Amino acid sequence: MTMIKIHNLRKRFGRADVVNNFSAEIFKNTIVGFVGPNGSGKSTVINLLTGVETIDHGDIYISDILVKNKKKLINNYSFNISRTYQDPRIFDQMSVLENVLIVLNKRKVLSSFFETKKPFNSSKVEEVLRKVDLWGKRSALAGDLSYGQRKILEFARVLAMDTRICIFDEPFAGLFAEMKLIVSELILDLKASGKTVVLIEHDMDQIVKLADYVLVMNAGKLIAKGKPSKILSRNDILDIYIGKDLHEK
Amino acid sequence: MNSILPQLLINGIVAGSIYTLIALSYNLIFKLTKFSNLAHGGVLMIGSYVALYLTQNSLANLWISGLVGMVLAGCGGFIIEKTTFLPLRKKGASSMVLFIASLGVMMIIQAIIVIIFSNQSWNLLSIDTISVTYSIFGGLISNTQVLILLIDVIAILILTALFKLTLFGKIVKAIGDDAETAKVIGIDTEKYTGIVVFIASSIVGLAGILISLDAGMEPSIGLGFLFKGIIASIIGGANNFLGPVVGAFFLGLIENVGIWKLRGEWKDVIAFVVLILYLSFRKIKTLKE
Amino acid sequence: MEYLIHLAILLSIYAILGISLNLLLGYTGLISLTHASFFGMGAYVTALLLVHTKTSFLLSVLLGVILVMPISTFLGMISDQFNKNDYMLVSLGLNVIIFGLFNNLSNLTNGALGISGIPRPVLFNIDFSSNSNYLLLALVLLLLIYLFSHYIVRTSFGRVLKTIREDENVSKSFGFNTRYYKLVIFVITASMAAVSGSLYASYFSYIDPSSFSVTTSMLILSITIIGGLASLPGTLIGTLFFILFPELLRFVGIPSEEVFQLRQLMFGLIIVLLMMHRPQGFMGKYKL
Repeated sequence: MTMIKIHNLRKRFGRADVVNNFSAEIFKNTIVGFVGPNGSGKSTVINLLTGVETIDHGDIYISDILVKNKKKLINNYSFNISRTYQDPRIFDQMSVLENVLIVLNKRKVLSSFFETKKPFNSSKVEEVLRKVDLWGKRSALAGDLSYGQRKILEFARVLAMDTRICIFDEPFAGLFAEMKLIVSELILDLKASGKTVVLIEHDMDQIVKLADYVLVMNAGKLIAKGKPSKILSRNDILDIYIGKDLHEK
Repeated sequence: MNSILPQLLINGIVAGSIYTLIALSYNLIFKLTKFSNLAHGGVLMIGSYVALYLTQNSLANLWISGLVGMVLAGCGGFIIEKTTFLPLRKKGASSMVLFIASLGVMMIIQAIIVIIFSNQSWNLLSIDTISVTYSIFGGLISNTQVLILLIDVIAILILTALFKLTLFGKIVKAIGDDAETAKVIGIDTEKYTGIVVFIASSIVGLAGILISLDAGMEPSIGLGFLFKGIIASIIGGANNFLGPVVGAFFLGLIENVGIWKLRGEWKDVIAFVVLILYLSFRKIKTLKE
Repeated sequence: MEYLIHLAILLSIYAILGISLNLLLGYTGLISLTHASFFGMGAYVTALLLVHTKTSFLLSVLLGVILVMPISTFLGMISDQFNKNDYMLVSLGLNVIIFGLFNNLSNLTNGALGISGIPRPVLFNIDFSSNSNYLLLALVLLLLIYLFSHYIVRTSFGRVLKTIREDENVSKSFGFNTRYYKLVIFVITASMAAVSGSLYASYFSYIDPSSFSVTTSMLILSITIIGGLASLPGTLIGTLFFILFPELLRFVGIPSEEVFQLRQLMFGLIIVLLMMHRPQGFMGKYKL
């Protein structure tokens, strides 16, 4: 079943079509690798998908519902999507614990008004923070964490949100080897529990290890899709990463 | 009924001329430093009170006092920039931090002025200065007001020439548009910002002096005049160099004509209503796009 | 002793104001220069009702809040349309406009002459004309508001406010209707300011527009920032400092006329130094 369908997506910044007639399908309960050189438009596609930018042209369907994102930015939550960012957007002046706790909050004003911290869901937060080894730092201010820890915190937040679709923008960048292992395990766990994962990454080892199939993007267009082992050994794909001359040498 | 309108128009133009100086100078600084600087209102008062001190103690005549007032206002603004805002900007302070710091500076300046000069209102002209009024188009204008208009026009011309026609002006505009790139190509942004702050501060100091010539100055109104300048620069259009001038005269006129049917104390209300209406229309316009 | 009671009453009145602004700025990250106007509205409602009618004090407080609620809702809604920089100017503008209304609607407010002869309340058979009784009333109100604020901060609602301060867009993406949250806290804090205004009016028995000007808004802002953003105890300390500092100056022999100016000077200096070296204020948990 198609979880996300993207059709002829176009987005222009200034005079450049950063996303140029991009179409793709993401199937339910798969891990999709989304690769391409820097500047190919991957992050923009994700931004369009998650309501960070508005769509110029084209359609996005999530669970067969049309995303109306041309004038007003959509709300991830209502589409059951959670994501991380290349540069983690966590709440710096709140504690690690609170950063995760917030996504378990009641959403409505009235109900959140009567929900106090102690009784609710601290077990879920503990579970998630322990998985990423941040439970010990739960009282620390998020802004005081190292870069790797901040990425992990954002990752943990996605785990806590428990949405059907999880999107990770370069989750492995800046992590130590042990942590990369933990994260890749957790991503596989996500798939095992029925979720759909989109993974933007440059780290090809991880892509090969985790992704069911990859989408390759360059200069705003989708240029290849298929199984990682096949796609990533293709010469033309390697070219766009390394640069034709270097490869020929 | 018709006899009062020309008078209101004249008052409006005189008010507008003073707002112009405040608006232009505020905008110059805002373009470069990117935050609402409340201390600018304090600098306005420095110019005025320095001139007051000199004339009250018969240390200098009106013209010299005015000039010294301008220069010292310029120095004041410059010192504030270098000691307070520049270090904060270097630390990466947000515009809210800078705004609050400028609030603190304003509080300091205002308090010092009240301590030294007390709260009373005063006028730069002594009682025995001869005041001549001219009748024009059915309204009255005093020679002081004519002087204010003349000085104002000269100041506008000089500023326009400086900032639109010279290389200096082009560099300043480049810094305002994109400070990072300017630094990369070798422009000493700090130096130029300092110079612009000095010029802008002396201009607003001049505005303070002109206010003291016209209606009189007291410590509580410095901030109020700054706000008029800010409003003028917003409604006139901050992107155009002469936008604030247009905004200033528009504001002066609408304030004075607006109180035709209302009492004089409504001027401030009118000014801010105009601001809020303008910002609302601008917001509606961007929403439609 | 009488004088200490007087200071304590002042403390209560201004602490409530400081707390209201702290909830808005320290926790939600919204700067508002309009709260002095809500302070004034509460004061004028109480003043007019107590002078011209037989309304009880507590009822006048309630009516003050009822008046402020729709007005602050409206103001909160329009303020939300602007970006941060414009928002500060708009809230300032609203303060000036409302100040102008206090000054000029003389038929209602008696304009610059103010309203005098505001009586002290008589509640539950206790006469609050004595200052020590009034202090009790003031402290009770302060306590209620303090506890209420303390509660808000501990709830999920309070947590959402903090995320609005940190990164409103991310907060929205989690499904929080941030506009609504901001509006609610704005109205709550405006109502608190109105309560403080009612206390003020009955205590001083005379009010005029000059107590509700832009200067007042800035003083409240200073108290909140100096005491510490996102710290309720900090606001109490800040208010304490605000009230006691002039007394200290008087104690060392500074003439009364200069005392308030020196306080303003000191506060301005402290604010500048804080912004440069400790932007969260003395006990604050949030750096601007």
